[in-house]
Amino acid sequence: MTPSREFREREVAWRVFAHELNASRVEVRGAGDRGRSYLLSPLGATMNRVLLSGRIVGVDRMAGENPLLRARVEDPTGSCTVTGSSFHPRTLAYLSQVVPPQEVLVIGKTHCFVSERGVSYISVRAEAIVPVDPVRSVEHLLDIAEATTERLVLGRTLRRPDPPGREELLNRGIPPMLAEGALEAVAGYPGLDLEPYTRAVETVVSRLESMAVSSKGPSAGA
Amino acid sequence: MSGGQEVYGEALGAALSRARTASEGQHLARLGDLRSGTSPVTFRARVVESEWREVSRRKDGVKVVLFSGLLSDGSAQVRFTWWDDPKRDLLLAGSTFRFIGAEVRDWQGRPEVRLTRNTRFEPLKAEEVPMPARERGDRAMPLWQVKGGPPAFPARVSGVITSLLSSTGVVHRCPECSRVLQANVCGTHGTVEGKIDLRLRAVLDDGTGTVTVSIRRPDVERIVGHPISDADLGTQPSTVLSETLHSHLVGHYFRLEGRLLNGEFPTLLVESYEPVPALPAKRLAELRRHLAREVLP
Repeated sequence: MTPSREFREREVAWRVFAHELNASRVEVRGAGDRGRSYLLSPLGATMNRVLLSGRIVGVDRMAGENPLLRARVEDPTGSCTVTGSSFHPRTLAYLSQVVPPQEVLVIGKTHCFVSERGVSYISVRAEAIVPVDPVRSVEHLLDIAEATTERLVLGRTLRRPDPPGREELLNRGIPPMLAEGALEAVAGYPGLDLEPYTRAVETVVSRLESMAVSSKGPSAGA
Repeated sequence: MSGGQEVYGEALGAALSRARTASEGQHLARLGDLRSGTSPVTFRARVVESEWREVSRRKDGVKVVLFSGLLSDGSAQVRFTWWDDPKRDLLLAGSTFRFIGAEVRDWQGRPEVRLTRNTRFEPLKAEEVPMPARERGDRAMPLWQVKGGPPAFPARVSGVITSLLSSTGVVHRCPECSRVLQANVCGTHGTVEGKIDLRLRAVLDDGTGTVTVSIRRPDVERIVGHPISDADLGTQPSTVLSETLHSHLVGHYFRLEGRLLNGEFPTLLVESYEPVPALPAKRLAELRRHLAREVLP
């Protein structure tokens, strides 16, 4: 690892569902001439790195000079593309032998390709793909649902008449990166309907509740 | 606190009574606010750990006694040293004092308290010194708050390990000071016979921020579920070890406690760990209530 890379701030892995990731249309560039690029979601996640939880339903080998595998990962809200390349050899090795369907946790970098016709294709370049059992995938979905709900609540607050400004959000204890992302999203996605995002989280929470009930054994109730 | 004053001896008794008068009207600092150059300072703290050992003084090689350890007041943990004729049986682990007239110096980029023969100690009742947050059973600290925190403090954090740093692996440590050797040379003790060890450094991410975590071998052994012997470290191909560590750590959620060293890249020196419970019914119920109250019509 080169020193210049060491001294840059590490990117947080934003917890997102496929639905919110796929709905992202705004790209933001960080400060400086080598500023990183971020994908701004409608709920204000300013994503360079993300954490996804879902099920691999298929893997394709892509044509090209370097080995590249493309997996379809489905979560309760939708599905998205995850690629594994020789840049992260473990992801490539994993995708070349996985037998779908398989529950996984994915950590990776967001990538947005805009075609000549203006259609954006969003994918995640995996840095780590980890197979998980159904019990652990509950824990991941819950983590993502909590983070999404927090953004959703903030998004609603900011779209009401007379919304709070940055200072007021910080005074309420909202983390700066969340507050700033949410404010940018209000500007970047004017007239956004939050209803589909609410429904997506509601779907996941209901699913988790039914899983919690069905798996309630002697060790449950943590 | 038990034990009474007799253990401290007569000279100290006299020092204590002087201290009581001197302490009146003194400004009390918090350990979290100590910065180099604010000397002399007066503060209340609990001794977390203390030890004395003989070390060779760097300038002339003369053996001297160094008394050192860790102080905490709930706002931060700060290392202390006492070179200058220390009273060895005074600052026992768990005891609480008002420290009057200590000096603050920078040591490796962090403030450190230096006790001297001019420092005075006034015993306090345990409840007069606040306990650190994690001993009160508080929740994990969100990682975005770390940057604004004091230079070093006890912390409990929780999140997912997203990667292992390249400094993870087999290392050789100095038998004297445990520092990691470079080509069998220790910065302080010269060429030495290194002791083989496993160093694990990883990135923990809670969705609001990240922290480097440093996990010691006994905890690594508990996480991977089997002991890792010196012989294993010496003979096992590094890829085998690295695969074992990856499969048990990356993508797993942990709750970790330890001492957090702040700076450009904050690092948690892990003292205890637990996997996050797999079926967090309480969190799910809380999320449902939150959704119902804030989001659903």
